[in-house]
Amino acid sequence: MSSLKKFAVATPRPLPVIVLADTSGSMGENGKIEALNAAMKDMVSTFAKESRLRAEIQVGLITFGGKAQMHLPLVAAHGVAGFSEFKADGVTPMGAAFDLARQLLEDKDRIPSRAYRPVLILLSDGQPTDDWEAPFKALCDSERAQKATRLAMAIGPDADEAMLKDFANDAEAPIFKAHNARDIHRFFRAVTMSVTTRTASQNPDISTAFVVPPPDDDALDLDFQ
Amino acid sequence: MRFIACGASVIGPRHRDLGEPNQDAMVLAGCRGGWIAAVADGLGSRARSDLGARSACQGTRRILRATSSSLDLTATLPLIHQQWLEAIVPTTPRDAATTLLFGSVTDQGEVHAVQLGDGLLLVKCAGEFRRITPERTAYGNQTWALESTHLQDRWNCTKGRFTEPGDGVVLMTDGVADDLEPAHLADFFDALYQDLSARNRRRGRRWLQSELNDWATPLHSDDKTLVAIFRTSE
Repeated sequence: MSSLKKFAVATPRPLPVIVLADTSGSMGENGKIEALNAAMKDMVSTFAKESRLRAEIQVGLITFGGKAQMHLPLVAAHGVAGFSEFKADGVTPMGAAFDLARQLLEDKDRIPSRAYRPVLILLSDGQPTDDWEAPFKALCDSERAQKATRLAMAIGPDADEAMLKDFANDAEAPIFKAHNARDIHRFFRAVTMSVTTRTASQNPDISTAFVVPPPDDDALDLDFQ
Repeated sequence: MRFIACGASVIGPRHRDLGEPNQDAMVLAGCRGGWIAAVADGLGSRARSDLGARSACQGTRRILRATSSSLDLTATLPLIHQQWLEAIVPTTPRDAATTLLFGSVTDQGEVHAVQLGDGLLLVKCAGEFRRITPERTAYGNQTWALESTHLQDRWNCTKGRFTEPGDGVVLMTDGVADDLEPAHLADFFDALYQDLSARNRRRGRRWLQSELNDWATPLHSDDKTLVAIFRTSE
């Protein structure tokens, strides 16, 4: 007698989390890039340790500072031994980063059709320096890529809040404004909580409450200028 | 003409852990020397999707039993939707939303089958295997479903004739379908036939339940339902 087991896919259903991180030169000021690096490591290590999962959380990091590139290919969080820290340098080619994200979201080999709805997170402290409108429209119009949940964080007073508001599409999570390094950590703690809650929930495709934890009043932190 | 028909529906680990009911449903019944079958998967995000799935399957059985076996199944779809709306009252269509796949096989081996939403509909006629369900364009768990309005063009339909042993129809919910290797669906279909035709109906059902409960995909969580009807001989 045969068994149906040999016809079953041998990998868990993935839940992709893709971060589009502004690593332009201005992110090197006021401790922003350091806070972002620490928050990334916290998020990935928490995903890796999460044990209640009904899905495999995968993480992909796209940076845009000088040029847009896949800093960390989309891989299972528990398989990430480490990744190089972001370095702040160059201009802000956000449009090129949108293209990379769309290509990834449309690629059925890298994100199969059985995957849970991906989460796409954009964070930036400034204005895009390339032609971002056309790539952004392509991302929003793509039959597949448009289905991703999109979250956004504006870092400091110079971020393009109007564009970031257009990017965010989750009613539970309006654009978050980070005024200091602690806020970057708070945002990613909320992302981490939201994603891990989804993977343990009845339906990992349903958005969960996006609650940014309150600031730690004892901590001393200077606002981004 | 002889057939073997078998179906099973098992609760997934997620609902079992939460103490919640199976949100899949199925029916499999003999009808005028042939068979009728349905599977449904209540949308996981909806409050009474278990009721929606159960009502869809029971209503389908009632209507197919009362309908001439020569009637095209697509003609029954508006009636099935209307009866589903009445059966779920006072629950709203939104709270009871469910996928639905069903089919009928006559005593002469004529097969009709239809599908709304996620899951997988596989058919083999005259030795030719076909996947009726189109490839999904986006991601998992984004599906059409029975809700407030009947939309005929959302349904996939097929018909054919069983002419050889091993011809058949298989209906399953996405708890099974999403974890099957797409390239091996024809082999999966044939393996089901081989295993079920080697067992009597009761042992076949137990075997299928066991296979679905011991599903091999890591972290699998969904409820799982599968119904199969195969021609075995003249």
